[in-house]
Amino acid sequence: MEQFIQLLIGGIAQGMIYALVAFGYNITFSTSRSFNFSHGNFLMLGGVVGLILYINNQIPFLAMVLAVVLVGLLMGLILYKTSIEPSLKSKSNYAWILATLAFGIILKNMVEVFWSTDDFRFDSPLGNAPIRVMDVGVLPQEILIIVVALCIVVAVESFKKYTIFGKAIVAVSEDKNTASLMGINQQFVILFSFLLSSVIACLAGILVAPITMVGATMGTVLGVKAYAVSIIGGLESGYGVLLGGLIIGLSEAFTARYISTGYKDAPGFLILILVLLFLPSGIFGKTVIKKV
Amino acid sequence: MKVLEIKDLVVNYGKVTALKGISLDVHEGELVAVIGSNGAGKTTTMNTISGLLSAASGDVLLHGKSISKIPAHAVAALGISHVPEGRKVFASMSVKDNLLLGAYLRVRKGEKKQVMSDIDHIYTIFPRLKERQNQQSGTLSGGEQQMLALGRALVSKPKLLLLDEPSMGLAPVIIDEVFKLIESIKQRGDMTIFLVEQLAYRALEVANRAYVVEQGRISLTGTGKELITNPDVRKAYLGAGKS
Repeated sequence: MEQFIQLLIGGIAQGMIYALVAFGYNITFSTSRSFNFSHGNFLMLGGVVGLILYINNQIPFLAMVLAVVLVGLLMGLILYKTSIEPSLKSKSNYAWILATLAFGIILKNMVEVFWSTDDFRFDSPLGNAPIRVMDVGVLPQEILIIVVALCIVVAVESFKKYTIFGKAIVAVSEDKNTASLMGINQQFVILFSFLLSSVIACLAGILVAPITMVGATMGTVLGVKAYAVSIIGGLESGYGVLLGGLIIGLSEAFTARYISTGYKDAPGFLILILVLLFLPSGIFGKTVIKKV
Repeated sequence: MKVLEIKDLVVNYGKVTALKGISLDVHEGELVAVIGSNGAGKTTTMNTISGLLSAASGDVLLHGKSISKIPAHAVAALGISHVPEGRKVFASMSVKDNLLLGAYLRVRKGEKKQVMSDIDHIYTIFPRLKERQNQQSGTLSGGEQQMLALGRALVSKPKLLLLDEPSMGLAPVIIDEVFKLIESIKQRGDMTIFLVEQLAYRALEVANRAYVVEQGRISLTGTGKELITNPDVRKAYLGAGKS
């Protein structure tokens, strides 16, 4: 029973990481209708920058977080200017796929060339001693992950719901042309969504670092799984990613323990296939009622 | 004084030329209508004015200044409000949020209080919108959506109101209501209106002046009354002798 609860919490924490990365996918997809395939490598960059500053150079934790946020903003801007803006102009659906994919590969290779190809440990600022509650040991980092992920998703969703700029983002997601007739600068909204999403990915990088390792390849598989999460939850649904993350995170944790670690990725992708077959817009996918 | 002036406007969709050199003008306080059949270039004209399309040649002037190279969101900031064809309300958002977004630029300028009272005023014109203010606007009927689209344009306090096919897809009784409303906006006199409409008779009834477009060119112009009685117009657009 104790083990079950530990698996449950570990699975939830892992799922929240997936959800956070998937949330980033959704933010940019909804405004730009393009999928950012370099997203996983943004997460990696956040982890690497965090490690260099916090572990190697002993910079205070919060200062490091701030620096990672700035790196996220800068990289989001570069991605937008080099890959997204030109692709949106070209009107080709393939341009942004290749551009973002290439951007991610360049990012990963640069880290390998200029930094290291090894994986490093990143000790949690909260320590590695599990908190024991009635024989159940929980890593403080896992609790941190769950709390921070929930806070970020709720904060962004509330921002979209209750502020005028947030509503403008929703309007651009729904109909770019009509949004611009309202005086909304759609290009600025799209840029904003990329900045926001890359900052969230970089933060996810430092959040996940203590429970995985930090290295140039850490974002690749995470990025793919988060992709599945965002499809399962519904590409345009904010809260859907939380459910999607839970499904993948928990199925992984329990399969690894009760079946085999070799099969741990199978159920998640099986669910992805089922969702694509029967609920193509995701479990929480938007189906807008529209009378004509 | 000319509010809007279009000079020799040419617009292409790829290799197809939709507007082949249109010139027209709209004076302060006027209601000017453009009538014509499907595909004549009415909506293209509208979308080029508001910056959704760009012109191949020619110019669009607002109060004498060229706006043809300005993106749509900046055109809106100059005081043009465009009610697009097919209403285009933000279907997933509430009625209230749609109205708020209509006044997006004013809210960002810090006029939120004034905007809220203007929205209340819109509710007195359209009581049904008030009843449904928290409802998803995609669930409104076509007529209600048209009212919402009009309300959304009005809260931005435009100097120039562009109405693209306000009758589209509506039942005749609702069309009556919409045109009554357009007439009353015109009577208030604080807005210049440029209307594009397939239902020629309705448009000519409310218009001070009108233009007839045919295949990307203006074929006739005159006051609303003149055109209603013009035999060619009657034959082509009004179902000769019936109306």
